Amino acid sequence: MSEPVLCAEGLCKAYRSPGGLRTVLRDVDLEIQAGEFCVITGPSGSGKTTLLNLAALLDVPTRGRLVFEGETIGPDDTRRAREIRRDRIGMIFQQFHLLPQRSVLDNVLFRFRYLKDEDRDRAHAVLDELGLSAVKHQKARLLSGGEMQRVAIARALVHPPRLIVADEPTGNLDAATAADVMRAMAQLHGRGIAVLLVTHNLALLPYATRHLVCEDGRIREAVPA
Amino acid sequence: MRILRDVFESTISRPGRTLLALLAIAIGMLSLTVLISTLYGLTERAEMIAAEMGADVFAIVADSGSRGIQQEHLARLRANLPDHVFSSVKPYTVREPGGGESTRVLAGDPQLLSVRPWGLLQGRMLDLADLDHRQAFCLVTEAYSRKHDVHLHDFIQIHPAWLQVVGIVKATGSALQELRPDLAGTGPMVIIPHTLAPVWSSARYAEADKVELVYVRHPAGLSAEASMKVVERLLVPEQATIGPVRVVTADLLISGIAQLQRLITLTTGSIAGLCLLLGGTTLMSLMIANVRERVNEVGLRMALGASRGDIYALFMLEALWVTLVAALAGSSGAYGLLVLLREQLTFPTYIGAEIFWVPLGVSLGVGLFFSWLPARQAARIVPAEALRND
Ligand SMILES: Nc1ncnc2c1ncn2[C@@H]1O[C@H](COP(=O)(O)OP(=O)(O)O)[C@@H](O)[C@H]1O
Ligand SMILES: [Mg+2]
Repeated sequence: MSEPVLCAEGLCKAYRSPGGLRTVLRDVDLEIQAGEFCVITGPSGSGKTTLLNLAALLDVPTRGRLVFEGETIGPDDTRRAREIRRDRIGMIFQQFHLLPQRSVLDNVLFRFRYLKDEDRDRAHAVLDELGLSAVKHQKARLLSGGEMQRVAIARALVHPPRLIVADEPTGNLDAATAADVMRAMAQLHGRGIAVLLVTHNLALLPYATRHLVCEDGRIREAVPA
Repeated sequence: MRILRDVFESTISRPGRTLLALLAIAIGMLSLTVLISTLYGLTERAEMIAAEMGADVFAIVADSGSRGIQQEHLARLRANLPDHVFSSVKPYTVREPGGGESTRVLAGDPQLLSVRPWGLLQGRMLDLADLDHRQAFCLVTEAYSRKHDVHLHDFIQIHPAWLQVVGIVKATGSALQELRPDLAGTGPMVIIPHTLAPVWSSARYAEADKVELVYVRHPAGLSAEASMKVVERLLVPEQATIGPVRVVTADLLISGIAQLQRLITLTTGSIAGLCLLLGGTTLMSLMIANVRERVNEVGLRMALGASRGDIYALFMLEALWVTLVAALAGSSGAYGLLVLLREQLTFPTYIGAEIFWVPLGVSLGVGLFFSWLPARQAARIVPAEALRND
């Protein structure tokens, strides 16, 4: 088997809270292969977002080890984590987090500090692919919810990444639009991009290649129904 | 650089608050620019005065004694201090009969040109023979010659005498014009041998030999202070009739200017300082509100790989943008005012690159100082928390 995109061993995360330390993730092991479309479900407050943030190297675990494409990222490797986030990870959020005053194209290109022609070309290609050709130059705030989330997907895809983490990306969308967005995401694993997606919407499960359940800070493979 | 565009887009997206901060800082910059221009102008004038007085020249004046300094005292000084040059002057204002124009006449001697930075344009200087024979010769200043269309060898009437012009002198600089017009010599003026002077002072014949002001050029080896002491000591025996002697040096005139500079710095400086403080704090509150509004954006930037330094740069550049525009507006406004009002202003002003550079530098400092805290606030945003789905 090839090297996993992301490998987590014994991940623990505790938050300081008024009543002392609160452990949110307990001893999570996880391995995600290239091309895998992994969906995580679980009750609210079970630690899914926390896990995604760790997987995206946006947060550091209290304990445990994270290996991204063979490279161990320790809690002090903030610079390295930043570089990997910039170059090899794409993030998608429930609230889209677009810059409302900027054009669609600007939003997609937002991650680049210096813009090269090939980045611009890729942005156009990704937008075309996601059916956003007509709105490239529109301001983001004028888009519909489904379009906004597809712009966010384009932004997460443009560099291009090795791993995409998506936290309830369809949470703010109606069923039909959600299905659109999921279809767009489902194409990704065909290109060897690993996807880690959290959702409450069990109707989206058919798109997944793997289903994990998060409960009380622990992760387990879902038993196929 | 994409960051510059980000900065630009962000400032124009909040025009109201941005304009407010900009206005306050611009007013501060305007007063700062006027301040700099005035201080530079005064410094320049002080330098001109020093140059005009000459490094080795000072003047002595005795204006409250019963007899004042007389030609005989001058003769004693010359005899005792052969390495010094003394030149006496006495200004008159001669009015033409029938309430006509008045002319400034300076009764002087051949040494005048060695103590004043005036040059001979044409003809010759008055000489001792002119003095001895009370020749009806005169020099005129360039300004006089231009004003009355008078040329070398022409005769002019300074009522009631006719005088022949034997030389035309040019007085350089005008720094002394307002401060001590008696020392300046830039305006239209006629210079005559002092032995001729009694013609106009017949009413006060006794005062004919009284000297108004004596210029002293001391040898370069001697300090002005030492020279002043020697000169004053030689006048001591006559002190009772001469009266107290005042010494006018370039330093003295300049120290008056320095005092003026301090006053202006204090007044205009505090206006500028207050405006900048006000503008700076407005800017800071603008930036803090800005950071608060853009928590998501900052979180997103960090999630997409921006470093804390990038976030600092983003917000500090935004503040700098505002202060630089304000500095430019303020100093351009001041520049316009100075150019327009230059003639009307009673104090000297300076117009040059500095009146732009200094405000730009100050605006850089103000921008950095007042945006540092908000920028730090932004850089401390934790992306995982900023981007949470709550
Ligand atoms: N920064 C934090 N400080 C303290 N507690 C936190 C913080 N972030 C999350 N939590 C807590 O951790 C638990 C898990 O949160 P989260 O990972 O968002 O769960 P989920 O995404 O599954 O709903 C929640 O109880 C939440 O209140
Ligand atoms: Mg969550």
